[in-house]
Amino acid sequence: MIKINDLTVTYQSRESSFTALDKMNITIDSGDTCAIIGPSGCGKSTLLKVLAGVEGSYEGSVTIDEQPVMPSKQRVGFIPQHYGLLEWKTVYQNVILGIRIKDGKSAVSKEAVEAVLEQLGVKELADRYPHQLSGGQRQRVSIARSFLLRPDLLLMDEPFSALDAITREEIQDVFLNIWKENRVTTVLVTHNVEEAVYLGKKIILVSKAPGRAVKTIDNPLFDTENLRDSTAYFQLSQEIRKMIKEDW
Amino acid sequence: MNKSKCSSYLLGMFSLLILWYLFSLILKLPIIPSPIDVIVHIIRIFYSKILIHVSVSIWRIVSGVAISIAIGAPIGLCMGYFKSMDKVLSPIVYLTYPIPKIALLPIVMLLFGLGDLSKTVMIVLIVIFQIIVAVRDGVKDIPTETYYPLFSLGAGYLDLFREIIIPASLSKLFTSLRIAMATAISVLFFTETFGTEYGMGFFIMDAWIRINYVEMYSGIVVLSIMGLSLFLVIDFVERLLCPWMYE
Repeated sequence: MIKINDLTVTYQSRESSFTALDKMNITIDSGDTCAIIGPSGCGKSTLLKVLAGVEGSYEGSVTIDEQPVMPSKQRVGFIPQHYGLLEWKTVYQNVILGIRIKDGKSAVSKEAVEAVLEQLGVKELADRYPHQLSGGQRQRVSIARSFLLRPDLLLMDEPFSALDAITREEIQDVFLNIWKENRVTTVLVTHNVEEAVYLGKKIILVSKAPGRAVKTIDNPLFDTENLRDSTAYFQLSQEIRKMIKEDW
Repeated sequence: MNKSKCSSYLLGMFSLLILWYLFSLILKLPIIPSPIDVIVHIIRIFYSKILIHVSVSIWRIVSGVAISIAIGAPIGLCMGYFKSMDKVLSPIVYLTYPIPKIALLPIVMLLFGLGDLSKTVMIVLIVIFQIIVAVRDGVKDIPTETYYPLFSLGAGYLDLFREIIIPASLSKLFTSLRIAMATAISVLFFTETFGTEYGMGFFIMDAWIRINYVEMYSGIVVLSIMGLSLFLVIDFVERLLCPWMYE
């Protein structure tokens, strides 16, 4: 379980200070997905950075399974906005990077890597470099890396926003499939309402900067079949849009 | 090197030789001998007279550049990553960078003697700054987000350097190495005209003093080929260490 209590993050520059997050309170149950939706610059990415242990200076308390955030103790998979693949490593080397750093080289099992590459449909690309891949392929590799790590917590920052509409839906399904097998606690940040409804069991609306969690929605539609074609999906999306318009 | 690149190099070399040949035909001066005479002369005396000088020069240059990388690259990497180190060292680097270090040759020769050591030290003094600055800027150019996935894994400094900082700045190192190599060859030539009886610098100036122009040109041509070969070696090593840039 992830508990965020009165989280406040302020960036100090020489002359001014900017509050990115203001007394944010969020609770996410283990094994859930949580979509955080908010306007640009509302501090969504800052929230992920705090959870990933990248941003260390904050007020309030953030715990993952009752432990304060500490990257060396927890297993956190982090997929940043542009997938975070290292250009100088092949797909294979990129995919094993997480597990290699976390558990050492001997923990890498070739069969497990191949299974995950196969599942995400990038097995033939194992020897390529990231710059030889399309955006969708890069995202698949990035997801493969995170799931191979078997994290306690998966963080995704606008994971599908750079993809074209068709590829986006395809990769969202790829993600959901592998997620269902692993049930990793996932926090994903997005500004796309449909994406939040499709991928978030819990949807949290964040206000304009300084970011606060203004509304939490338990998504009744999460993980229903053919969701994209259902009218309930459109209705919920429309409702959330309305709430956003009122709040932002 | 691929075939088309190879043939374009050969074509360039051939056109230069033709130009040179035409000049020698038109001017008919002893200071511009025909390239044919020069090439024949090189073939005749290469093993007996030139080889030892080339070997000494290559040794001086390779050792100088290797020491510069061995010292300069770690300094540049640390300056690029650790802001505190950059703050302390940057002023020193910037104040000493523009000093024409070639003017320090007399001092270096007094301190390190007339032998190989002073030549190598001179090369290091000049080349190391280019490497430090290039590597440091290479590290600074790495976007912060690149580190995030590793930070979130709890990676230590060793991991960061091995997985991100070194490979990301490697291409900048090679670029600076190409520039540094050209500088190093000029420095080498200059230092070899003093207090030594070996090296291509000595060979060329010695032939000049003896008014043996064909031999002098032979030295210049060999020195040029040596420089070109060193460039090709850099290309080759880069291909080996940075395969992702060539895929």
